[in-house]
Amino acid sequence: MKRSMLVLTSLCAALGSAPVFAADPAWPSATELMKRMDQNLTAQTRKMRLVMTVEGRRTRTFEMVSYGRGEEDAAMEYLAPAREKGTRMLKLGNELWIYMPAVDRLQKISGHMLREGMMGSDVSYEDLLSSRELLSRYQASITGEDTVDGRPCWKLELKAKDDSVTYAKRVSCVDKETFIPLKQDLYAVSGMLLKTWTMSDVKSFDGGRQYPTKMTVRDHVKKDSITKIEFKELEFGIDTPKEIFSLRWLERR
Amino acid sequence: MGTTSKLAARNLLRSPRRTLMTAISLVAGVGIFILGDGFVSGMTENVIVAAIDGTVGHVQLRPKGYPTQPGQHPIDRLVTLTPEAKALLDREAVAWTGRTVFAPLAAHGPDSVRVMAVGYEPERDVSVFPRDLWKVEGALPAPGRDEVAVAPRVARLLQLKVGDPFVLQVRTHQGAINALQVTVAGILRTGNAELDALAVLMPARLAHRLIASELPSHISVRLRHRDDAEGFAEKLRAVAGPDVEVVTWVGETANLVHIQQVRRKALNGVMFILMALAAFGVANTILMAAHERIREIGTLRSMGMTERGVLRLFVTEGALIGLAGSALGALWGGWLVSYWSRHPIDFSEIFEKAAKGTLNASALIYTHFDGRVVLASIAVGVVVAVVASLYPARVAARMVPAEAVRAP
Repeated sequence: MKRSMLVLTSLCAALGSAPVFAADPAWPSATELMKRMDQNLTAQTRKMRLVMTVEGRRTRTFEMVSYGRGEEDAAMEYLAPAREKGTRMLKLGNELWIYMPAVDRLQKISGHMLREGMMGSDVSYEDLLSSRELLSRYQASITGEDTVDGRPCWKLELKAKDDSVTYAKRVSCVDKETFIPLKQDLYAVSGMLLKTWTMSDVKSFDGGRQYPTKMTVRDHVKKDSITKIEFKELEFGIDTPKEIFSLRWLERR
Repeated sequence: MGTTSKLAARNLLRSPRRTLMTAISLVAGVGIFILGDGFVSGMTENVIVAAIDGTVGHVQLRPKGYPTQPGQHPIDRLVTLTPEAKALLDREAVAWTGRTVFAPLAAHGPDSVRVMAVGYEPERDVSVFPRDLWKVEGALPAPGRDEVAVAPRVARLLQLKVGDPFVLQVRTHQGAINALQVTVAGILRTGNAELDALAVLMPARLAHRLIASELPSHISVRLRHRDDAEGFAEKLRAVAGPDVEVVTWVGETANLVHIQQVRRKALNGVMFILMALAAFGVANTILMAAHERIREIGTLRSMGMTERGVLRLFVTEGALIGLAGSALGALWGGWLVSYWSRHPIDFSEIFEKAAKGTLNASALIYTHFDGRVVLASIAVGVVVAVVASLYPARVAARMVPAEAVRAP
């Protein structure tokens, strides 16, 4: 065994070859890539109208409008289907309230429920309502190049800086032109692949921001479960009315 | 008195059907009361035993402010024993053990369900939580392997069989998502409705890997007698530290026991109504007997029987109906209660469907047989019958002998 290792090392030295995953000087730094991704995907304020389709044993479609402020605050209202219409959610920090007009009931959801799939989807409240920067939470390295749907991308491996980060590891293919993660594999602490998140139909917005208008989340834990999100309207850097981020807004008719 | 009793018995047997009909109301009243009391007492005891033997122990330590709503098992805070608390447990408890309770998502194919995972210490757990009622299809999970035992309802919902793999996905103690593929070593029925509906049991080591912490969420304590719980809890509170709350089976079962007390009151109400109906029946029977036997009363009075003697005769008739009815009712109710106190009724399926894991009670309902309740019920039946027969007996006793003899 020792001898074979010695032979392999000598061979590498003789050929002057670099290790397979050594960074190419022409490649951008992983930090730079994460910064560009964060610039695209996070915004201090935002408004979105989206349609979410949950495919599984039965397919369900929801339409909602959402407002975001900073990394953690968000408010959302369901526009369709009729059964859910008027249901509102408010997330302030790690707390979430849901108002259901049908039963005129305001319910506070405890912290761990934030990680539950929203309306049985593969997207958690936290996934959709938070807008957290990757740079502060992950250490990254570029491990190679790849293509997703014919678009060249950087293969970026992100490892959580501390144990509290939701996904311990992400492997992303970051579009070389738009810096959008076209495909992200999200892993558990154990190393099990949990979800594959793909983004497409990237559009340009003010300030050079690129943002995908379609996302697909495939859950690898629940077989045959796919959630598709299509953003119908997107606005960034808007003045969100203060009253939206209050409990009064939830119960307002 | 002997003659009066014989006369009364003979009179009752003259109209056996009427006597029987009157006695049946007493049989029903006494029997239903004994049955109801047996069930209510049994349920109360079942609730207590299920908590002690299934989830709480006599005394339990858990993080301060731990939620009490069903289905909530956060693990953001866990229990660390202070050296003083550990010394107290080692010194005074019969046994103690740590359990890690959390709420992972269990997924098998396209199906998923939120379950109640219980990580137990394989060697210590059994000394706090007895396994007399456990029934396992397959085997209990082997320590050191990624194996679990699942509750029958979880197995049904996820279509799991022994040997099937499935995934448990959970947030770690720190907050990251973790997931592991585990194998069903066995399908376990514990007799505790909450566990049988939602539980996935696993050795602590596997639970610790899933939540990325070796600390338990609960420490349960077994004492020599359950009545020692409150006193021991006081001592434990003094040394357990500020981040831990100490609870006992008394507090943990208080709500369900209160429901049983309400049921007992309702049962007493039913007993009152049934006894009132029985009293009406007895009074009516004795009154009819008095009117039918006017001439006989006249003859008895003519032969020297006093008013008091007639009164005694009719009251004795009421007492005999009361005694016979109550004794039959006590025999019927007491036998059933006694039988079910030894052979429990299995409510597992009903509890699983109706309560869906929100009820921390044993699904095997034993009734509670108490001889004092049986004797008291007979006594109440006799007293009711005697009191009910007083008025018709007075009517009979006050008849004028000459008029009574001439009566048609």
